[in-house]
Amino acid sequence: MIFTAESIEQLSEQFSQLPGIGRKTAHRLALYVVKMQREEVVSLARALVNVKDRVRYCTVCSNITEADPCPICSNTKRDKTVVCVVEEPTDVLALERTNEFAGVYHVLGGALSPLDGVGPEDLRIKELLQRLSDSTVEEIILALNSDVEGEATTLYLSKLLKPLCMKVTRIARGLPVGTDLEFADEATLSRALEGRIAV
Amino acid sequence: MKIRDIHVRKFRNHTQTDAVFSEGVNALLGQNGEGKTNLLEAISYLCLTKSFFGSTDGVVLQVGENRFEVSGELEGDTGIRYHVAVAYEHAEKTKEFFINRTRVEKFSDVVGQFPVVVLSPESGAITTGGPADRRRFLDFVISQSSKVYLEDLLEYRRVLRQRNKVLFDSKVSRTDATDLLEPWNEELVDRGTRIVHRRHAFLEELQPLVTESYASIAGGTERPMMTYEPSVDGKESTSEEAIKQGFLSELKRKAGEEKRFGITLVGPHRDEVTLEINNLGVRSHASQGQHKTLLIALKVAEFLYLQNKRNEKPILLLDDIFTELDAHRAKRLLALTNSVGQSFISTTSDSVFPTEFNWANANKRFVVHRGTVEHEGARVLAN
Repeated sequence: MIFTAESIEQLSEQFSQLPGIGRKTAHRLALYVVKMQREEVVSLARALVNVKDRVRYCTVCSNITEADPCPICSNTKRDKTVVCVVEEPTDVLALERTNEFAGVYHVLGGALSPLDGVGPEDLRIKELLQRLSDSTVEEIILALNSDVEGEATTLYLSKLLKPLCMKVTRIARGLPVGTDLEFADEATLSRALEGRIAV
Repeated sequence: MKIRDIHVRKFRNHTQTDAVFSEGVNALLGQNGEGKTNLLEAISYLCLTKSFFGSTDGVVLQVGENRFEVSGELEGDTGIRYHVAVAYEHAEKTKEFFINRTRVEKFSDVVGQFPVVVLSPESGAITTGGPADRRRFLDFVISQSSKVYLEDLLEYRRVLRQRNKVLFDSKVSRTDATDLLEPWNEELVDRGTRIVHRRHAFLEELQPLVTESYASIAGGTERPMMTYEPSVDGKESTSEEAIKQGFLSELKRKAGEEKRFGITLVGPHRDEVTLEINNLGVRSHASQGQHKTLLIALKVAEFLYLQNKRNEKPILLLDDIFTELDAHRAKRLLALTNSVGQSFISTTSDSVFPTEFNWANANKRFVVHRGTVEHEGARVLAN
């Protein structure tokens, strides 16, 4: 026991369970809570519980949402023939920020990683196939991370989806827009060279 | 590349060590267990973000402490200076690396920027040890000369572990994993092919350097030879396409065996480099003296190779090696260190340095005692 109050110790312990929070930061957060107004603490606690109670997964795309189906899936203006497959809900947010994609999404909930015990049956692949058989999807865009697990998932899905006779594409890898060539790291640059296109 | 000064805090037995180094030979003198190697290890943290022994961060941290720091000023051959710092916090298990006070996102970005060549008693394994020791030598050198290689290597290892897990799981559960293996196969071949290709090119470039430096140490009649024996290879060509085809067909051929053993049996993680002197295998036939000469020749070649690739003289770290070398080889090596740039030599006895050795401007002697480092000149004055 580091603190003289057990409740602080407990809170700090809880904070340190969160991703990206180490023990020191957890202590700092716990002590900050002590200094907060009671109302503020109550509203923080309520916000935490609300998230857990209200948010669920969209039955169509598996994105997180309060309404089911989610606002993207229920939006009649979105092109339902193009489905963009991503790993996590945060990836949907990233793509939405571009304001360029008018299709719909499918959130897998991760990537293949045998070391973490994640196999195809742990991702929402069955739901994706189900969705494809029901509707009139013409193109699947695979927008997964470019680490080895994301790559493996892309390869796995492309093998699975291609026989279903639709257009399967993957997003390009290469240079970030607006950066100078000289500042690009070597690995990115060599990938960009690999994926060069005719002009 | 030169290290101008170093500041070490709570690192092994160095509670607080500050030293200003010379541009030439820096001799670290002291008895066993006083902290000579620890100082070399701290230098390795500055240049490579980690220990060259493979010690973990928690191990090099002083016992009972929570945070160690190593910082220093490095200067490139063109005169550009870098302030480099590394800090490790045990409670949070975080390590941060800073160049010019900017935090570095990926440690792999640092490797190679400050090239080093290390020769320590452990290096002997390159000629006497197994294939894994020689692969480690290859990877260490190529990674410092090519960031693409290092990234490929790190990804390859990750893919390998994932693929081994799939094979292992399918062995245990007695199920067919062909579909699950397929994406990992493709990535294994992709990264693996580039690694094999790069190793071919590297050994081709290193061979003439090894031959040359061996001759300069041992005289004319003995010819050292390195032969790359990749686990997968293109039949007649070392082009990437040929290697890839070879890799794919080997994977297919060994598929049954892999399933039985539950482990990946094909790929650059099973490569070997055989070393020969006058067509006789070094591991089975070479004398102790030949082993040592070859090791030094390899290290000199490594030095020249890195210098060529990076346009920067590597920093030379020689850890307690003179006890193992006879006078003749020691002299050769010293003559070399005198001409190469900056070097750090740890030794228990300064008798390894010839009496005529010039301890003027460019060379300095330090006394290492119970985790403190003192410039000998200053010590004499203080007394």
